[in-house]
This record gives sequence, C-alpha cells and structure tokens, in this order.
Amino acid sequence: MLIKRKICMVGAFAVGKTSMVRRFVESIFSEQYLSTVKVTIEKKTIRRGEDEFVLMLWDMAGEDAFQSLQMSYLAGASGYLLVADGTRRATLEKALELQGRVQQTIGSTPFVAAINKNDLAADWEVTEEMEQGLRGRGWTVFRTSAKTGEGVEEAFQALNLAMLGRKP
Amino acid sequence: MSSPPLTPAVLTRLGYAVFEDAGAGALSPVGELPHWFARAFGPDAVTGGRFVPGDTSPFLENFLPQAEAVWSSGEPLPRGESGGWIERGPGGEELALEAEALLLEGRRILLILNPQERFEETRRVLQLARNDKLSHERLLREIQTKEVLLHCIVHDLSQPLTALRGCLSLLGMGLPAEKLREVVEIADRQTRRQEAMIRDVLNVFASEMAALQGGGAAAGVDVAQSAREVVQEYSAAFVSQGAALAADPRLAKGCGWRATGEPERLRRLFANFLENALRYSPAGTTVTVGVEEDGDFLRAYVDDQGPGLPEGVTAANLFRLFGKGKESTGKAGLGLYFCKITAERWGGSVGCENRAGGGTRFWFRLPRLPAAREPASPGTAPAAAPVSQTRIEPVAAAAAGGATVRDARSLRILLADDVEINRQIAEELLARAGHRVTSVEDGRAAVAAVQREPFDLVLMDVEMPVMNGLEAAQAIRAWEGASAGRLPILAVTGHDTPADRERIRSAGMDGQLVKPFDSEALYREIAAVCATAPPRPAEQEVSTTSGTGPARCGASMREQLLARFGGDARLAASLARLFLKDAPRLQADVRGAVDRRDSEGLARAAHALKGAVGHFGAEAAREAAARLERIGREGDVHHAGEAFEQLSARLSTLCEELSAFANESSGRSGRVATAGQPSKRSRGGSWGIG
Repeated sequence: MLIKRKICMVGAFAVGKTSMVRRFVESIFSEQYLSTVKVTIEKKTIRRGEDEFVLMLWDMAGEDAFQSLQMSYLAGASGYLLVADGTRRATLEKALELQGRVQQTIGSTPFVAAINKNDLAADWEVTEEMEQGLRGRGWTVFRTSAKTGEGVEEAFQALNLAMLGRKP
Repeated sequence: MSSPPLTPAVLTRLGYAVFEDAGAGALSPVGELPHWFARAFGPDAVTGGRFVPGDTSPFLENFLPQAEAVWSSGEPLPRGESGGWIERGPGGEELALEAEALLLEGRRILLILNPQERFEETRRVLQLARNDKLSHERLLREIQTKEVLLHCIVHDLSQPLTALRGCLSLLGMGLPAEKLREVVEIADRQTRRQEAMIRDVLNVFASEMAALQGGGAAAGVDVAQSAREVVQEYSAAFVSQGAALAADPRLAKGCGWRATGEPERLRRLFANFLENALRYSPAGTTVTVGVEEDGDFLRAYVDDQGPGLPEGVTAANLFRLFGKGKESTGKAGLGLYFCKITAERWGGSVGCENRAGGGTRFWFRLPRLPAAREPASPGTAPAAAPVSQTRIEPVAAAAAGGATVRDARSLRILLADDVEINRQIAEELLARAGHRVTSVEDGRAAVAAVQREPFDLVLMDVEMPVMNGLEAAQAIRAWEGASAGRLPILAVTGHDTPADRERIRSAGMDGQLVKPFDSEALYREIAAVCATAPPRPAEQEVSTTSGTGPARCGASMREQLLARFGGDARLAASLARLFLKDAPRLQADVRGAVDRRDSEGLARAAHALKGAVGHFGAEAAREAAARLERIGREGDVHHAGEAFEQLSARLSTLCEELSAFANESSGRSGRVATAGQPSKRSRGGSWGIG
C-alpha cells in the first residue's frame, strides 16, 4: 500500500535541518551553511513490510529574529522532526518553545527530537542531564550527525513509526 | 478616467501564471503562461489544458484546500496567500514561488508568482545576518571558554608552588645530606612540571594563532622514527616512576611510514600522550608506543596498563579544551586538546578507549603519505621488551623533632590530598612537628579512614577526584551525628574568596589553609583549629602521645610485648624496667660521641642502643639508632645532630609506653618516666627516670 506523509522540519536557524534532509534523502553532506528561506520540499520513499511510505519532507526555514516560523506550512502535517544543535544550548531552548507553538497550531501530532552535530560532541553545550530532561517529558530524543549520518535514518524511522501510532 | 479592470489577461501581462479551478484537484491555465513556469514544473506540466498540482507540486497540492476555503468563503473580495516556497525544477533550478487564491469576476482564480529577485535579495541579507549572528555566538563561547581556561591555568600553575614552598621550609630546617638531596630533587621535579605546563600553554596558543593566520601547513614526517625518538627520550621518566616504556617491535620495520605532519609538533603529540600515560601508570606496569596502518592513515598509539577510563568519561570530553578540568589534578588540561587540534589540522583525528585486557589506548591517526626513498635511521631499533624497569624505593619517613616544631601535642592527623607530592611534603612537615600522619588520596578514602580509626584532625584538600573535600567533610559530619563529638577538619585550598570560605564553612569544616603554604602557616592553622575544637571523646585520647598527663600503654605495644615474652606480663614488665634503667646511659653514650664527633664511638654506642631497643620490637627507635650507626661508620658525624634528635624523640615515645606498661603490669600507679624531658644531669635528648 502506498502511504503519503507530510513531515515538517522544525527548529532554530543553522541547526542542520536541511543537512539532515539531504543526508536522509541523498546521503550527502555539505559543510557550507546556506540559509533556508521559506520552505523547500523533498521526497523520500521508504518501505516497511508490505507498505510503501512516501515521505514529503518540508524543510522549513529556521526561526530567528529575522524570520519566524510560518505556521501555515504545518497544515496537514502527519508529524514533525524537532531539531536542535548540540553545540548551541539556546537552540534547544528554541526547540522547546517551537514545540509548544506547533502543538497549539496542529495539536498533538507525533514528533521526534533530534539533537544534531554529534560529530562535534567535544563542543557540545547540551548535556546528558538536559537530554534526560527531554526524555522525562516523554520525548523521543536522538543524537544525530548530518555530517556522519549518525542517528539520522533512525530518527526519521522512529518518526514514521510514531506516525503509525507505534512507539519507536 | 477610470482604471482598466484587473482581468486575468492583465495579470498574465504582469508575469503571473493564472489558473482557474477546474475541479478534482486540477487547474486550467488562463491565457499564456510565463516562461519560468516550465522551468519550475517541467514542459509537460500542463497537459490537455489541465495542470494537476498533486502530480508535480506537493506545496500547491497542500495549498488547494486553503484555496478552496477562500473560493467558498462567500466574502465579497476573498483572497488567501500561500506563503513562499522553493520549487526545484526538472533542471535542478530553484525558483522562489508564491501562490494566491482569489475570486475575480466570480471566477475561482489561482495566481502563481515568481518573485525571484526579491527572494535572492532576502536570502543574501538573511545569510549575512545569520553568519554574523553565528560568529557572534561563537566568539562569546570562546570568550567564556578562555575565561575558564585562564582560571584553570592559573590554578594548575600555582600547584607546584605549594610543593616548592614546602621544600624551602624544609631546607630552612637544616637537613642531612641524604634528605637534602631528596628535597632538592622534589623541588626540581616541581619546576620541571611547571615548565611543562607553561610549554603546553604556549603550544596551544601558538597552534591557535597559526590556525587564525592560516598557517600550520605540514609537509611530511616519519611517524615511526618520531615514536622511537620519543620512547628513548621518555624512558628515564618512566623508570623514575617505577614503570617501563616500550616500543612496539613493528616500529623497527616502519621504514617509510610517513604521514602529514611536522616533526616538532608530532614529537609533542607523542610526548603529551606519554606524559598522560605516565601520570596514570602504576609502578610495575609498562606503557607501549606503536604505529600501525589504518587504510589511508597511519595510526599511532600509546597503550598503558593503568586503571582505564573512569565510567562516563568519553574521548570527546577528554580531548576538549581543559577537558579534564578541575576533576583532574596537576595539569591545565591543555595537552590532549593540543593533540586534537594538531591532528585535526593535519587532516587526522584523535581518540582513546579502554583496552580489552585492561588499561587505556590513546591514539591519533594522520593521513598517510607515499614512502620516502631514504630508509629510516639505523641503530634506533626498539626493543620488544621494556626499555628499562626499575623500582624506586619509597621515600623514607621524615626525622622528628627540630627547631620549627610548633605544636606541643602529638596529633593523629588524617591527610587527604590527591597530589602525591603535596602529601609527601605535608607528611614531612607534620612529622617534623611530632604528629602522626595517615594519608589518603581522595575524599571517599578520607571518610572511610575517619570511620575506621580515631584521629585528632583532618587536613582536607578541597579539590580531589572521586569525592571532593567538601563532600567528604559533609559525609564526616553526617556520620558523626550528634553523639560522636566533632573532629576538627582543616580545609586545604587554593581558593580564598569569601564565597570559597562560605562553601568550606557550610560543608562543616573548621578552618582553611590556603595553598601555597609554608610550615609556619601549616602549624599555625592546625593550632588554631585544634584550639577552638571541642574535646574529642575520651577513648580517642588513649593512644595520643602527649607530653603531659599520665602515660598510657597503647594496645598494640602491650600486645607486642606480650607476644615477644610468651604472654608473661611480669617478665615483660621486668625487662622493660631494666631497659628504662639502662637507656639513659646508652643514650648519653650516643650523645657524647655526637658531641665529640667521634665516628667510631658513635657507631659503637648506636649499635648498642639498637640492640637494646630491638628486644622490644621498637622498629622506629631501632631504625633511628641504625641510622646513627651508619652515620658513624661513614664518618659523617657533622650531620648526626638531626638524626640524634630523631632518635631521642623515638626513644621518648618508646620509654613512655614501656614505663606505662611496667606500671600497669605491676599495679603501681603514677608516672614512672616522662619521655622527652631532659634530665638535670645531662643535656637535651636524655630523660630522667622517676
């Protein structure tokens, strides 16, 4: 069966949302940071048993003082990946804030948190305790690296499972 | 003149792609479509007069329900914007698009616009702003990091000063040649340690500066040769610690193992790993240096047989700037960070992990280069076995007595400090003041020691691994509860701010000794803390050697005497009294020989005294006598004074215990001998027997 899903990438600017999408879809990574403006949509098909899932990945512009998250893009989303940058603690705080706003907009939609840039673990500001704090909220949290690929596939797969109503 | 009506034809002329709702998720173009439309959606996007967004544009497909809401709203001039999106066309071109739904002359219209120039400008400004923002954040983090780093560096650089000032205090006391050498060696080690730290600091700063200036370009270096040279250079340091340093046999055939790098920094890289291994290698273990091929890289490693990485410690943490931070001692935490930034600058990486068989492996890998034509230098082949391995005898205990002893009481002191050299110096100074010292390496061991045996005072370093001094003090106070009395705890710390003092006080400690300290400060603070401390429980006073009050025989001495004399207390007491009667003469003979600088006489008299005290298993006194005997045989009587003081102090202790034993065993009351008090008939060092 062919199942179509809309997944939104949500997070502060420069946390690696676009890089995660490119790693997941094309298995590539670029060191260069290019701001996403508005939204770009990528497609990835994954198979699970007899079912084929077409994941429409809405790579939304990161929020900061210059550009805010466009809530209208969230309409019809089956789930979202909440991304933070492990080397910048403030992006985790932003992720917490965005999660609240997203939930207000589209209700309790399945999501998975990805703390990205684990390849720079030596420079991380996000601590184990903070991660535990997120898990304590019932969140599913992955440490990811779009650069090495670590945890990226797993995070998307976990989100897909969550969208199917199953615990990752 | 009225303006022309806004018709679909006009909108087409303005560059819009104009569509009208065709139902069932399809749109019909109105008029001619602009050129960009085919680039965005492909040349065949409109087929048979129909454009189906679901086939080509997920964004538009997602927007259609909102458009439907607009068209069906019933409002007079309804319109709804989609917000912008990026459509990647079949040719890979990214086009910025916006859509809008509106009712125009009753027709359900959907407009698509390509504001490409505005988009590019927005993206350019946004990119600049965000780059600046990221740079600013990075700079703030670096400033914070540097501030903490500076704190760590100052703290660690000041550490050797404690030992150095202790050494200077000892030198001021007048030491025999043997002890003098030992103290000078300690001081020398501390200066070298400080020098190494300064070198680390300069290395890191130089490397970071090179990176900022775009420098650090490296040609090629023979990794195996560098490893061999460093092994040779450092083997002596390992020997002095009772450990061994070995080179992996494969290094001998490592000709042509060239990698990206620069010789001096590569040597520093190896050296930092070795210095790290040296700190964590127990005596009797071997550290091995090797190099192996790893795909397109060469991997160099340093394997130790130490305790391994503690649980929760990761390579990422260890290699970060001052990664070991305050949890570690003795180093500013720059060495491993230097290894990381250097290896990474050369296109390599660093890491560490626990080895299956125990110990830790620290490694770095560098991009491999084609082998050089010339062979590696001959004659530097390493041995498969350790280069050398020598055990160093522990440093002898300090002499007791001396001009600088400040405290009249002999205290049982628990010393908790994770830095060996600090313990060594403090033990020396405390022993010279006549105190008995038990040393432990961390707070947890201190708590265990307090619960195990009685002490009169704890000297507690604040910054220690496993459990710090504050936590240990709190644990001791909690254990004491309300009933067991209060054991004085003197904090030893390098921090002396009001906040630090408050932390120490809150942890339940009674005072603080600020590092670096000298003997005067040590004795003064001990006296101050002990003077204000409430009295300890009576049972803990029993084994304290004191110059006042009735003497008591310690349980261990009683057991020892009974064991030596077949459990016959009367016999033991009788022999003790005989010794007590004879001892002043034996001691006077030794003193006379010292005063006359009579080497032969000193050797003879000390030998006699050694034999006498040996009957009672008095090992400390026997050692002191043996030392004087040795001095006499070697003819070095100029330095016998201090040794004689030591002997006197130990004899005092022995006589006090023997007289107490004799009194207790014969049922007599009162004091038989007062140890350490010079009699009126002889000069200092003898004692009177009542």
